[in-house]
Amino acid sequence: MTRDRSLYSRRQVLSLGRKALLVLGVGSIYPVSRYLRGKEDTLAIARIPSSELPLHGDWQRLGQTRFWLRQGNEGVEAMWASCTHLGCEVSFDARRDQWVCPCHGSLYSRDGQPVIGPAVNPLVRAEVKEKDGAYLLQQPPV
Amino acid sequence: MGKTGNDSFMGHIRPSQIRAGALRLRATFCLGGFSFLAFIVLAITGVLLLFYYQPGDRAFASLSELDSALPYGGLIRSLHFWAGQLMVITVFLHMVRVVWSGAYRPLKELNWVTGVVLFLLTVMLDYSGYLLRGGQESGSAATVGQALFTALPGGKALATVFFGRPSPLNGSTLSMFVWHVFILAGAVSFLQMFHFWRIRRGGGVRPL
Repeated sequence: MTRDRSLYSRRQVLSLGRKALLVLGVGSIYPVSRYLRGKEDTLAIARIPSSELPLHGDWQRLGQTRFWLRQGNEGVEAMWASCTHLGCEVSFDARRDQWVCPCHGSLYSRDGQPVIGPAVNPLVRAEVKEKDGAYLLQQPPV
Repeated sequence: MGKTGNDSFMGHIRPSQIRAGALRLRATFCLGGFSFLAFIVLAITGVLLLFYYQPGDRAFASLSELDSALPYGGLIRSLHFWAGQLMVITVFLHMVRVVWSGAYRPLKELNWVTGVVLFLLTVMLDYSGYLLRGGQESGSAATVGQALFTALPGGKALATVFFGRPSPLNGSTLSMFVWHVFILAGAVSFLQMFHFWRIRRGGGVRPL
């Protein structure tokens, strides 16, 4: 049969493997717990301190994002400014009191209802959470 | 090979006696072992991905968030991807080794058939995982796969069961998700246990 030329016996290799598994298991506790706890805050795409963005009545764009905010009757509202036709970025034209899509000319009312096609669906609202003096926003399912 | 002490469950996992030659690396190159290791990594990272993945229209968006916003999300997703690639390769090489050393011959023919089924399941898992990414490439792959299915007799019904109704822009559907996560993965883990048990029943590994 085979001559024993190896440095380690089978038993030693298995015990080494067990120790390696233990180290791997303990070592993965921190990353896995960070990953599992990372749900709400980290998934928010935008986080803007409320003091930086004093809200008045009209829609206003939030930093370099596609979120537009306004102070509604029941708290802060957010609009996800993507055209529901093909996803171009729409912007609110305060003079016309309408949302305008630059690509195919869709128009929406100030509440996001489609006025002129090709878009047929209303603009999508995003959920806003106010936490620790900041607005947290998540990209809505579109 | 002595059967003493090998009949219990633990006895199969850690038998008191095995062939000395089977321990040599050259006997197996440990390819089945690597495949199983990849499967364990896939199972663990797969469960972790389930916490955030959303099948269907949100597939691509949820994975982008996982990559960019979640701590260690990209690492876990990459581990799942690379372990999947590794598993397909090692399972294939494992089959080549078995053919090379003639280990499909009697006493082991049932295990060879089981292994072939496991290989097919592995490829289907890899394919369905590719669709679940929900990118444009997934939509194209789904279109090709559906067309292949419909070439079979009764293939249209089969394709509907397997794919659901994927849009050509996004291959991810709930049906594909159920197949990937529960049915295919479950079948693989069950058949693997049988496969390992049959190794000992078939007389273990002989050196090349």
